[in-house]
Amino acid sequence: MEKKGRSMKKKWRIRNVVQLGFFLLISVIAINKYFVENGSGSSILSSASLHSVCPFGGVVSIYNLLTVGDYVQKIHSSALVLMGLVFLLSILLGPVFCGWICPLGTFQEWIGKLGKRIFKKRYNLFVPKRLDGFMRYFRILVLVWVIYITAKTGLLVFTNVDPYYALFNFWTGEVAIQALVILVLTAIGALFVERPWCKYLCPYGALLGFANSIKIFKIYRDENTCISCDLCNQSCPMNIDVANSKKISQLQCISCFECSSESTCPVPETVEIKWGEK
Amino acid sequence: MKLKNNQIGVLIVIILIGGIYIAKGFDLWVTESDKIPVKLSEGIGAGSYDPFDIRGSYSFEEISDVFEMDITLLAEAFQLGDVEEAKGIKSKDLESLYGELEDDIEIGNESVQVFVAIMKELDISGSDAMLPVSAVQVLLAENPNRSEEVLTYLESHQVEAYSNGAIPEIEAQTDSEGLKVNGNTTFSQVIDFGVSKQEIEAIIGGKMPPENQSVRSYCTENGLSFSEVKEALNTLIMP
Repeated sequence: MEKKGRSMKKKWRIRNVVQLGFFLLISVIAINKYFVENGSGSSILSSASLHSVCPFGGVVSIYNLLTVGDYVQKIHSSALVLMGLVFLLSILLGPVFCGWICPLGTFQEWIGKLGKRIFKKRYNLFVPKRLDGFMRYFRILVLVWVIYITAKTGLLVFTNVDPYYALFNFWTGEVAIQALVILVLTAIGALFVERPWCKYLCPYGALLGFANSIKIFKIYRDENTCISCDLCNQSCPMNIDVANSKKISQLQCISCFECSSESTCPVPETVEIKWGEK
Repeated sequence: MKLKNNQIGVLIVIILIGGIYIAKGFDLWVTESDKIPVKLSEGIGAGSYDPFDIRGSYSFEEISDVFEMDITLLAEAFQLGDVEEAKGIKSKDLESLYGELEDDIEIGNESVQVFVAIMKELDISGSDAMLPVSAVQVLLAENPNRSEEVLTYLESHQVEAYSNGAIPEIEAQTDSEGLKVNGNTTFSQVIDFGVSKQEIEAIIGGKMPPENQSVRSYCTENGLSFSEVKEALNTLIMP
């Protein structure tokens, strides 16, 4: 048991190290860009804009590229490269971008840790199930709206309401007030609900969620060894009913693998990430 | 086949970093617009870069590189301090550096365009941008035998204006550019600025392009002069 405890701590750290790494990377890029534009900043560090390192920019540019052969304003080929790499990762492992990389997801998780301390077991269970299920369709509507409006105008209209852009640019004066308001509401919401933006409004999460039905490596629960302790359900930030599923392919899964035997499940080889299982 | 969390972490980093590295190898990793103006297709200087395509986001170092001009001349002309300081200043920053002048006169990106055009002895007909006296002095010192047309222009378009020397704080592009057509403006924005589709069609001499296309990219595709189209559209936006 002691060995298991040590192991859990170690495995818990790897996802958080990756998350912290990407959060710091994006922070450094955003801050350096600000200083470069003001005549200082480091030439060694990337001065790319946040738009150019956001894979969702590639997604919303596809229509423009196909119809007029040009990127949407402020988007460059780097966003398209990242879009391809994230799709590749998603086909392999599901939306690991959401669970391991996205700095806005990490930001919400950090605030969520505070929420967990305050509300203990009530945390992430405030929204009634029926309402929660209904609201989860919103992000698909947001996805459709963003793609339509970007295709129509050729502009990054979503930036005006994007909390991710607001989080890494709030000091620049370039952020629309509504994006700042959404960022603050997301932060407050994360005190009660784990990853509220991801669950209800994120268009990119909605798109990557579809990869759950085709991903190569899936999460499987072994019914024969499961002791029905429900810890997997409690660990899932997206409130997926892992304890009653044999295979996790729900569109909401963010591939954080917190439910796995390596992370939370107390029984070895019961919740695992596998390829080739029927 | 099973995967462990640490393997997943390594896989994510390898795929992302490796993918970016490979993309760089194929020159696919581009994170900013190339700071290269379109080339003139006809007239005086055909084949050379069009100074009237210099965008506000170009730094004086980039302008100096592209147009093969000594940056000390640019620094002296626009009173940008020493060369090192001038390198990082953007063309659009001139508006803040010079501030508001009398009679709504503005020293800005268009002043830089005209200055470069005269330096490179290219056509300036249709231009109306003002130049600070310091820029006129540089132009005349470099070549006192300018054409009659240029001398008349310099005589009527110089203004006693002095840079305040303060490098401006970062500004949102939409704020600093105002309601003006620039290199990134799409036709949907031009319509939002109040120009009708019929007016656009009259200016470009063809059917209304897709609204999500940028004016610049349409002009490049159809062999139109972006600076002329831009000028005509801006006249309608700011009569």
